[in-house]
Amino acid sequence: MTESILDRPPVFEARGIAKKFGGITALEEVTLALRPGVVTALVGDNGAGKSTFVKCITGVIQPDAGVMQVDGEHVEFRDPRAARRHGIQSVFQDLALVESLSIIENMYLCSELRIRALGIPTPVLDRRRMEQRARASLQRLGTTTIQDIHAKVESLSGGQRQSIAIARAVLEEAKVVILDEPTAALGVEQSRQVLNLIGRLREEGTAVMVISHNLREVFEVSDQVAVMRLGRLSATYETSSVTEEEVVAAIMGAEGVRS
Amino acid sequence: MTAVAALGAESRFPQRKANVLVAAMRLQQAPMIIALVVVVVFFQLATGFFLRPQNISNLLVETVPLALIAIASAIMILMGEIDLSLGSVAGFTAALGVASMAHLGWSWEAGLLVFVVSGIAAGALQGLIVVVGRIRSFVLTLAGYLVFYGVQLALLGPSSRIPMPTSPLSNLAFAKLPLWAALTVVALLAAILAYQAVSRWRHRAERPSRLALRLLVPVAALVAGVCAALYVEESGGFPLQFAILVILILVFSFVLSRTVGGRHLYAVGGNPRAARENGIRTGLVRWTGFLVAGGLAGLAGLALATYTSGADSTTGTGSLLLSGIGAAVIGGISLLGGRGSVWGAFCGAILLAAVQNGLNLMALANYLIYIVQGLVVLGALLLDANIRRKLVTQ
Repeated sequence: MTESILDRPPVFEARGIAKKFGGITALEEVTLALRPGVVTALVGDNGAGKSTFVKCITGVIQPDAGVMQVDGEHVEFRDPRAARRHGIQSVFQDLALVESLSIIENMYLCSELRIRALGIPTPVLDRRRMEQRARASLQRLGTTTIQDIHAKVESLSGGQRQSIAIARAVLEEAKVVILDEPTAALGVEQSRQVLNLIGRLREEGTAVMVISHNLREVFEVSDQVAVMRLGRLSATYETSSVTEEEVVAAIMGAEGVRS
Repeated sequence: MTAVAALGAESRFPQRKANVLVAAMRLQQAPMIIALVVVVVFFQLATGFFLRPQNISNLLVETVPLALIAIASAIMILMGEIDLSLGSVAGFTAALGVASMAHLGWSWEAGLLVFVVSGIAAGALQGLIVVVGRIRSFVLTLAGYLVFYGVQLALLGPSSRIPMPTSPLSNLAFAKLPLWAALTVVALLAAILAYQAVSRWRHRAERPSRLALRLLVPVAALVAGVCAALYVEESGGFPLQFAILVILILVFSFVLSRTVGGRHLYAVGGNPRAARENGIRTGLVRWTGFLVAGGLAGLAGLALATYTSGADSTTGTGSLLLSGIGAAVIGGISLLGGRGSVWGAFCGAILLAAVQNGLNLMALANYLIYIVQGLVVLGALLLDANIRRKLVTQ
């Protein structure tokens, strides 16, 4: 990609993140910036610390050291809700969808819109508004394969489910969207849908971080590649100026060229 | 059926016909209604007086405790739990409620509160242990089933029976609504169902033909309700208890389908992990469910106590609990959790109450009644599973 997008000021920045579990060092001095409209691929072998890092920046666990900034302001996430409040949205591999509920209900699960009486929110659902917004959001993301948003999630394909989970993540002002192996369980065509969706998010100026094992997809969709190895961020490349071999070498720990 | 066939013929694609039929089944709890018709015809032919106004009136009253336990079971099953103590809790609240009026001389208003509050307390206590102690509800409520039955016997004392003192409450089971009031309740019910049908149709921007289909349910409810009200008028009027039950079910249906708490209950039952990851306080939701189910069991205790004019050692025992769970499952409350509606449980309760009533009219031996009831549940389950499988493959 062009030089310019990586020069944009980061919307999210993690500096010197460290985490230990007992005597084992899971993360050491991890520093990474996510920029608006930039797709960052986070790659690395199993156990390299990718998941731990993502858990730290989404508030699932708290780092032992390091600082995080959103829009230049210092933040601390005590729990996932705090991260969400700051616009850090994540879609984990299990998607956290309730199969027996409809698409709309899933998109608004635990952030339901309520009918207001005299300005005070009642427990009654504002189904019309939820439907309008959910429909608009799906259209905006170009998820054309979903026709009936009243359909239950259990009737959807894997790709559609992934799309719903992503659409839910960006429903409320998302600055950063973190996707954990979004195509791991999907076929070719459905992976394509999800990659297109990631493209849309980039166009809208959302910072996206994708954890992936599929290097072909990484090169297709990302603007920068961050390689983790043994709990450290061993290299960060601009995708357009690196080869697959170099990234593999960095993942394996062979002598690589730092960008 | 002709209306359905006509809708199918009118559609552009032959495949639509099948879709309409499937939609009709989905809408109308079809297997249950077919089963109910079969049951009614059978018992009318077998006894000759099943359909008499007096018996229909009795049947409606007998449905009330069963339906209350069925709704309570439905709530439990919807959130992925089960409560085996509901029958015992009903018996316990009946004993406590009647004792408070008979022994302590409390007013009937205070007695009414005792029924409801003791049921809620029983549910809240068990729910607390399940949620905080991380115990399976199946096991805990099995213990609760024994404990509350023990407390019931203790409250009843050596005579094993406390008669209900005369009060407006003691007559509740036999209180009748005047015709205009019964028709008002029916009209209200039909109007609400019609409103739901129309708003759902408009909401989803469906074809006009779908509106006719969606309106079948409210129209059927209106016709059946008016006929029932006019018919039982001959026996003195429409049972007040049943009217209260219908209003209660309307309220529960609304809360479960249209409020945040209701949807969270479905989410917790459908996929507890996903619910938690989305920030739903699953423990609180489950505890509330237990509490509400307990309250409904308390109301069932009240219905039983007024029906038998007191509490005794058989109140809340027998097949009440298992019929209630059976009614919920027959009514489409999936044992997987998170799927089904209270209307289904209500229809299931009517079906099972009709079977019970008919078998009693036939003066069959007790053992036969149990066996036939069990077989009806089994048959309805098989039919239900079959249709659901078709819905899935469709």
